[in-house]
Amino acid sequence: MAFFYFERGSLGVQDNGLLDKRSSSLRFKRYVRSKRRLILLLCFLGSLVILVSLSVGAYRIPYGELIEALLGMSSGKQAILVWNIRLPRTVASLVVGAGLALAGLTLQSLLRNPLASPSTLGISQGAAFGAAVSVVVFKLKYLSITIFAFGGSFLATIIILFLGKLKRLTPESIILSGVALSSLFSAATVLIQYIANETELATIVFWTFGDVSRSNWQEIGVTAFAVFIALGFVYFRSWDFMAIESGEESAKGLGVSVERLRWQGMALVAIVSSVATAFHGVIAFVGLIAPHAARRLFGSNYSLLVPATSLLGALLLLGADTAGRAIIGSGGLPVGVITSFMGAPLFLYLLMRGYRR
Amino acid sequence: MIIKVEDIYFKYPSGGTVLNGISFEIKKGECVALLGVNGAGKSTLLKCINAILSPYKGVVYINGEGISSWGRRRIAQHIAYVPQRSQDSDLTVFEMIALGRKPYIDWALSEEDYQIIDDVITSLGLQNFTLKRVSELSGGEFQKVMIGRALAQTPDVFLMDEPTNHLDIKNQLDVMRTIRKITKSRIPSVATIVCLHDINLALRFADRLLFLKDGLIWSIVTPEELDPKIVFNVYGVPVSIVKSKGYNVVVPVDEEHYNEERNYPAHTLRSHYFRGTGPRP
Repeated sequence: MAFFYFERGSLGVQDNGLLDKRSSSLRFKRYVRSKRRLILLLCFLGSLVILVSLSVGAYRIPYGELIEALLGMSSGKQAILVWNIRLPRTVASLVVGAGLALAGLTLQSLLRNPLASPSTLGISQGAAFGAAVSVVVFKLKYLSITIFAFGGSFLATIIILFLGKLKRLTPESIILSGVALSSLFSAATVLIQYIANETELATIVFWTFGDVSRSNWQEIGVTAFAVFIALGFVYFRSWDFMAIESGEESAKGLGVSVERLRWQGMALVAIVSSVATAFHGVIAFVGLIAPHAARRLFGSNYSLLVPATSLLGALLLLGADTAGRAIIGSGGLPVGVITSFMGAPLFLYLLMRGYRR
Repeated sequence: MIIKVEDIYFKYPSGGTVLNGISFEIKKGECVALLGVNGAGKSTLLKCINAILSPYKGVVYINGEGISSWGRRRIAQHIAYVPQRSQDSDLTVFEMIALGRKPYIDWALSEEDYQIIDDVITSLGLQNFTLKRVSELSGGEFQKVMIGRALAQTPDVFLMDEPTNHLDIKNQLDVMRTIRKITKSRIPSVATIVCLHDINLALRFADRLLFLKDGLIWSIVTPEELDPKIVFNVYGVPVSIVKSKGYNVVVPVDEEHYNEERNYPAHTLRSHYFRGTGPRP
């Protein structure tokens, strides 16, 4: 069905023969398809990295045996190693990486701030603080720790939202208040560490290292569930997020309930980052790097950006963890250390390039 | 009648009443320019009409129906709003125009949406920019994309907040001409309210000029009816109005020559504009 707006030529556009004759929507569809192929390529690369990560470590498993173990065709030491130690670690990296990247993307969009991520806004530190409180003050274990971690990160989220909304802060000030929040929470965590006994201290320090090696399948399951919900939410609200890309008032004019979306999105971010932090510690900068890399490659079309960001985040964390194991051997470096080393230069680069949003 | 604004009052929480009871009506196919000094409440009025801000009193009617009970989405299907320029997004031109379909889509574009976007791009002559990012466009091109987005909303009312800001004279004319042509020739027709700083652009392209002052409508006139007194009272600037090629043109007048201009009474000058500046010849 043709949809005519104007009498022919009434807008005075003269076709001087230089205008593209092809249908714009066909070209756009082709463009989207090419980007989808790029995502598939990333998936393929990802599966290679997964194989490498399963094989590398203190004990190197040859690829042939690795595949046999994965397919359940062997039941020796390798199979036990793969299924009980390597695979949980790999899956945890993928899930946590995807979740943090998605949280970063959501934050950057909702706060309209390219430097936003769970770790730069103090949300991860809030989670670590909540966890510390639960361990030392309330002597809690397991799931209760997660609930406290969630409380801590939610507190940080609400403070950020409050400052950003009611005081109408600029992007710079939001990041600065994030810095203030992080150091406040870190200081409070240190204070709690000071009064903790040795076992508790070990538990808390363990927290502050972001590490994917300690997770069991249940924890991974919980994290994956949270990430999956968040992924679905952001993906199905792609157009709302794109509208916010073009400015808050613009988005409202396009029929988006910005405030409601912001609260829903921030709550999901708090859940994802607190679950990730509660089980795997503070892993910085993945939430910052992955969305920016994805934006470079895929633009701001969220139906591409959301899968691409999660994929890049997953690969980034898995790559960092694998690199840590490949360099150090044995258990490898805690992955949080590696991501921080990678992230700090990128943060500086972003600052120097000047951020636009 | 297509849009009727009735008795709008608005106050910012930080204090100061901005709008003190604004009422007017605009018909289909009419282009109205909203004028006034900086801070007169022009942008605020546009946002109140669009329910981006909620006035504490007053109703906006579209085709006779009050929109206060409508949801955001339904309002966006009837009113398209182009805010002041914010050209800092990584979206492509196609995606930006496709956003105009946002009030109609849930999470994917339908074939009809694609058709409409295609038509908009073709009628604005933006084919060569389809896959370019909007941050890479020139100011004039970007403004056209924003107009395209508003068109894709298939609205009854266009609200444009200073679409000619930061544009050179050619692009100013281009953008205003496009807006006027859309208002005059779109089927089904549309009513346009455009905020402007340049009175001469308004005189040339608008059907009526609506002057805001102190939160009230100071006057609503056609370009032919514009009187230097109105301009002086609204902006505090003495002007004379000359006719050029059939259009009224506002020309600011030097203070020294104010005696030669007998268009406005001298006591107004003394009491407002020249107060405290010492004796005058």
